[in-house]
Amino acid sequence: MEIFIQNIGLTVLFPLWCSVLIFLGNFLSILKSKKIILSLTLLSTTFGLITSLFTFFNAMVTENFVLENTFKFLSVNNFILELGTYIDLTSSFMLLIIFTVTLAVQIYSYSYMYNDASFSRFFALMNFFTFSMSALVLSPNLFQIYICWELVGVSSYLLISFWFHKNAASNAGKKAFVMNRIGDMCLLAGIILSSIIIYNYSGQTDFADIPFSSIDKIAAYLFTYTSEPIFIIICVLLILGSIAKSAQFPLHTWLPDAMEGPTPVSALIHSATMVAAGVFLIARLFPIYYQSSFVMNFIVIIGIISALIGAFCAITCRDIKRILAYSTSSQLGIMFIALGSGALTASMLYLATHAFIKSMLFLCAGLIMSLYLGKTDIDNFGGLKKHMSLIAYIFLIGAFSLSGILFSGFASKSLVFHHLFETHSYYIILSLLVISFMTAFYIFRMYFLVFEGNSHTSDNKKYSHVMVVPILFLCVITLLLGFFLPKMSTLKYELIPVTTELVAILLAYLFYVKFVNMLPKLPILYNLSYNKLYIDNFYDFITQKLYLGICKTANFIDDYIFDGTVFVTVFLTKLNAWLNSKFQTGSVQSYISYSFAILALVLTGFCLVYSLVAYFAEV
Amino acid sequence: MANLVFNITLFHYLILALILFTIGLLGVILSKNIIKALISAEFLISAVNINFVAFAFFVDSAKLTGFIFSIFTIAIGAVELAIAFAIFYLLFKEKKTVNINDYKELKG
Repeated sequence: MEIFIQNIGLTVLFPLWCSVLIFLGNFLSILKSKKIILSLTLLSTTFGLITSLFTFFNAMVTENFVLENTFKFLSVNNFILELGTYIDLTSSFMLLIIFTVTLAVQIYSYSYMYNDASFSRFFALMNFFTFSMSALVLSPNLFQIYICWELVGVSSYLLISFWFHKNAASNAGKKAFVMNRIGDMCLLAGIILSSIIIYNYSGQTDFADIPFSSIDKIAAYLFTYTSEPIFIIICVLLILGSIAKSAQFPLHTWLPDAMEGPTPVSALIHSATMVAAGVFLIARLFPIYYQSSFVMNFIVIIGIISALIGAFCAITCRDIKRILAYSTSSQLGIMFIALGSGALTASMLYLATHAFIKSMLFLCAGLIMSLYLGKTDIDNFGGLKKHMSLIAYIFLIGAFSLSGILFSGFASKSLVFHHLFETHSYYIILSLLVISFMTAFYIFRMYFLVFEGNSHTSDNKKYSHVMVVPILFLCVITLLLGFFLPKMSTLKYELIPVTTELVAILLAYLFYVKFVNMLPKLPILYNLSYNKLYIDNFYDFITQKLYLGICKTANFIDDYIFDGTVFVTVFLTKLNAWLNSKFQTGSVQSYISYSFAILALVLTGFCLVYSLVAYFAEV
Repeated sequence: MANLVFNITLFHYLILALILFTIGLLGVILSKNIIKALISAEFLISAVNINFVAFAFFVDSAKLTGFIFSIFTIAIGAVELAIAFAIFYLLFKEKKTVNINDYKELKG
């Protein structure tokens, strides 16, 4: 057990080696066997899972468990940048989530991607993602977080545009990359600013790379040695990085489009692990944000807005994966709310339960899609309960859990509500109730439309049982995890949210099962929701119309005004030179004639002027 | 008899020099043969010399500066001529012609 914990760096490095091995093996045509690729991957992931399990239990048992293994990576004057691993309760917890979901998804993707031509590329990228994600979680300081942040972004980009021959997929990859770029730049600016302040003003040059082992001191220094606006600017910049990664309000539009990637990728990266990195970063830097109430309120407001927008857009969405993507954005918003209101533990537990539930739902959606030849529109499905009752029940468990009525979702949501009721933040509770209502509504709308109702197809679909195993695995975790969560809630705090959600389920049942096609489309709200609140159109307007217009105007000015001036000057000079060159005949005789002609002219002129002056002087 | 005697004044000399100079100038500009152009250049020098001597004779009371200056000019003209011939000789060896239109290397 100790060996595992001491060598936790290997957990990070095994996936990297696997990735390189698979990539090189495919490149040199040595490693072609899909079974070997899968077993290599599973070996490294299982090792990681076992290690993280041991580490997590050790961290649970030991009070204030901290283990830091670092090496010097870069040193400039007194600034020393260290890389390595840093384990405490938060990071071992995250590591456990990551490896559990990764294991399930990797088993699933073996049969999901089996017939794909780029099987080994997929597994190489998945392993690379696991490496970068686990390195991110185990970062000892902010700089390593930034490095891994970029690595995670790159692997996300590569996996979204995995089927790059599809135009939509490559565009979605670009969109995700650009959106994340905005956040990454803000994050980098925030890191550099805070590092400069610590280095220059606090005198603690050891803390210049913002190590998490002494984050409390750093938070105190940062708050002491900056003025209020500067401190808020630094915090907002750091939070913007989280916002982009976690698909929160202003930069959330990349997540629904990222569903163009393979479904295992959506299940692993865009619901469970990578998008949770933003929440993880906020949890890591929580002592810094906690200094200023403005920053905490900022996090809460961002969370509320994105949770509302995500849930609102999911209600009318017709693509089964996009519904889950909007749901992810919305659920991450709830985590932001919990973090901003100070419920650190509750939000981390919410992250865990959400990771399992959402990856399970995604795997179910992927299974359904793979049976229907990749069709994603919700209209194609219906009555699937007859053909795949097991999947339907698992999805139902996930839906109940996601909406927070039963199982682990209920437990983690009641933790959040408990904290909010204890701190009497009633505005947040109100908005959270609205969000919960919408969550239950859209997830049960999806359930009823896909699994209940009339069947569109009569043939009995056969699905691979290898794909059901990881779904069952995640389902068991979802069922059981609730019992391990701390019980703090009293009935009073649980009654209101659960009642709200039950009402939402009843409404969804009435609209989508009982009175099908009787639902009136609310005129303005339906359009708003169906067109994603026109945020995509707004960004399109800004980039395509405004920005391109400015660029075109600048281009016009550059082409015709600046370049035109230059062209006219050049033309005049050339004309002058051409005219002058006509006088350069090369014959000495003509030169002599010019010079004598000019001399004669000058003399004549001189004489004329002289005589005129003399004449007028006489007069 | 007295009417036949020309009273030669400064003006006559200047006219003679002007005529010589014009002939020389036209010769330099218009002649196609390089030797002719060189001979015409000598006309220019002679015209200037006549001017010098005429002015020295009629204007200067000491009658010395102009004479000495013209002697210098003759000497320098001779040297010039020698150099010019040397250059033209080399040019002729190169071009095998005395036509001035073939000597247009100064074009540029």
